[in-house]
Amino acid sequence: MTEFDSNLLDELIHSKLRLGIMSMLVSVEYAEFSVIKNKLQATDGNLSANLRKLEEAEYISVEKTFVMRKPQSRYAITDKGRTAFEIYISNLEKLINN
Amino acid sequence: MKLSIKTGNQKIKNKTKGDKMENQNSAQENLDYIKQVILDSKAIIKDKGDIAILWGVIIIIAQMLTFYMIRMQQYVFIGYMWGAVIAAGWILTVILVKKKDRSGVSTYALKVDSATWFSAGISMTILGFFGVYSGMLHPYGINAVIALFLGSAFFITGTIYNAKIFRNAALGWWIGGAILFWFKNDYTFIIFSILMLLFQTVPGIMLYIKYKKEEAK
Repeated sequence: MTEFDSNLLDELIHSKLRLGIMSMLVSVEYAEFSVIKNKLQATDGNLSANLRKLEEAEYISVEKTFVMRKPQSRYAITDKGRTAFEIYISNLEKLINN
Repeated sequence: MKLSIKTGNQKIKNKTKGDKMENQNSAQENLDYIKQVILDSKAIIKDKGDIAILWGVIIIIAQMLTFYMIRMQQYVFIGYMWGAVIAAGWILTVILVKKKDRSGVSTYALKVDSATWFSAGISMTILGFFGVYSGMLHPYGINAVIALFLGSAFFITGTIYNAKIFRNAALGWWIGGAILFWFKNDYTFIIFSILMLLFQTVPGIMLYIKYKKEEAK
């Protein structure tokens, strides 16, 4: 069996916070910034930076709205993000079974 | 180097055979982490049971009033009473759903569940008013048909959330619906009230207690 090359793991997903974000968004229709922050226990700055990276890669999409005059950002996983996440998991499984 | 989840600028390296076992363990940890986050995220949305309790209580009251009005031969008020009750129920439901929307997260399961109950609610409302007032459906037969609608909706909810309590409620409604077809008299309203208490209000209260307990943790 050929050795699995762990460099195949998507570096964009392979960070604890971004992996958490992707795992969370893959299981919901959407989640607001505050919910992701609470669930993953991240700071505003760190979470914003990591969400932006995933957004730039088009792995997630954001919808900014105003609810009772308060700005709200709703994040959802995109088709591209879902595919990337599935490949990431598949690669992790290959690594385990290697 | 260990294949751990990157923090900062750490690069993934997995070239030596000696690291293989460690990398496999780390990959397993990552998978476990993903699984945990997914399970936690799905558990964010909890049914409080408030809407079930609301409809359970108002329908029981309306059914008992219908029974009383028929006995008192006050037929003319029955339609107005049901109109007011159903309108109040829908308004309160919209308020409760809006409150839920502010939770900041939605799942596909919740979307399907909401769509199921919304469509069942609209169908039952049309059936109750147009079915009866057109004369197409006998007033004594309506409860049996409504019971079957509720059985289907509860069964879908029970399947989506893998909740035995709702699947049992569905069974109760289906059996109750079958029984109600044999009650072509005023007692259909009493029996329907009992079904509403057992298979809607009580499960709603149980969910509410469970929700409050988990919230307190």
